[in-house]
Amino acid sequence: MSNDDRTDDRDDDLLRPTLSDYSRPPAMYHTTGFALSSFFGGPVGAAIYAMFNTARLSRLKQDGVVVLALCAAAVLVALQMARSGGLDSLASIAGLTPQSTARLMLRALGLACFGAIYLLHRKFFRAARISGVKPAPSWPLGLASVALGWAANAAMMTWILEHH
Amino acid sequence: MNDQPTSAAAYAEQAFWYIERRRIAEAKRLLAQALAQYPQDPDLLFHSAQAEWFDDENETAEKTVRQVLVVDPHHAPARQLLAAMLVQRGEYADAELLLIGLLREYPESAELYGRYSQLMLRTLHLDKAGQLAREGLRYDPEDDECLLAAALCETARSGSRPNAGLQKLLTAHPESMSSVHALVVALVESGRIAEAHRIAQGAMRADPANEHLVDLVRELRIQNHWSMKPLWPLQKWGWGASVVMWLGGIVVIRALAKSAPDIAGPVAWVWLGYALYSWVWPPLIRRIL
Repeated sequence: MSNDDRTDDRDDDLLRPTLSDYSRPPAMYHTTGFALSSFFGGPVGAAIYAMFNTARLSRLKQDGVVVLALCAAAVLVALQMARSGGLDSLASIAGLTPQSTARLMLRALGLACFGAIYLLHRKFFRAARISGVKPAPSWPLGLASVALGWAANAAMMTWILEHH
Repeated sequence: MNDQPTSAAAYAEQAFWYIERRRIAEAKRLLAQALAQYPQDPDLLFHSAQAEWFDDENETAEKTVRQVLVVDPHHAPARQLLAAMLVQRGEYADAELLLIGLLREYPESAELYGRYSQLMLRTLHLDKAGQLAREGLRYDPEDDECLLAAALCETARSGSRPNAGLQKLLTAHPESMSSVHALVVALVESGRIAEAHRIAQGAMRADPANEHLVDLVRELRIQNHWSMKPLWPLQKWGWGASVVMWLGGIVVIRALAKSAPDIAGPVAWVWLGYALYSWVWPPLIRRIL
């Protein structure tokens, strides 16, 4: 293959339409909604919100597994804390009941998931800000993430407190 | 520029002279006069569309630009202008097809690569945006559209870290609007709002008719207002600061409730007040100023 052929191939690749398949303009959901969903919905709320953002970026193949792995790791940390007695230590340090401590821990883990996923998608959030792209309406997604995350948190807390 | 033009080309040249200097009313008057004599001249129609576009008469401008393309379907500047209109309307896929068509006809046009790169950046396709900017810079290493796209891509990737793309743009075009735009964006991303405000204000004095700059200066004036100063950690570190504020606040208040219950209440109220202030004040000040 000559240099010219390679240049033609590269041009063909670069000049292949990228946006034809979009049914709606690309935009990410609101970061505030993401943070609040993560705080109130815990790791599961963060993961649900992040998966929808990842889908809007057409990056489910690349980033979907990472998002799910982060959520699973956060859930494992919560369960391991309960099993190993870490939750009791935290509760005694903070002077709280195990129930309040577990709730607080799930919120902190939700925010940690938010931070990690935000770092993963940071360049896209920045690009959206730089280009002045308005965020997609995020109320329905935020409410659904909080509701499902809340249910998951309640189930985890029940399990944690039963095995306490 | 007071001599009466004697041909469509001379009218077009004079109209462009006015448009370049943002003397849109004069350009429009001249074009109306010219189009009465040469109603189907594509260049006159194109400049007419440009003047309407700068005057925010977007629908009329689009009609006029489509009229140009009926008269001359290959009119490249009109196709570029239509692509810009489609981008502004959010019809990105159609704008992309127009730009690709133009690039196939003018494969060595760095400016077109730059425009396409900026469209990719706007639609959050960062990798392709970077590749397109690099490709355009192969044909013209100093093209300002490509340098702007490259600088913005680098700002998106690296935030406040040193930005070689921005450096190249500022060196090649120290006084261009693209340089101002990229520099202000980079400063805002680094949380250096006061400097960004100063630079945008200077640029606005040089080009007071530029509405994009006026909006930018207004937004930066809001962010630089004295009442926004308490929010500087949130402006500088963004969501990282918010997470630290929430987690830190909860931990500190819990710890105080245990060790110094007398001050835990006031601290909690101050913390809550600050959180409310950070939510409520920025949208309010945008309405007030």
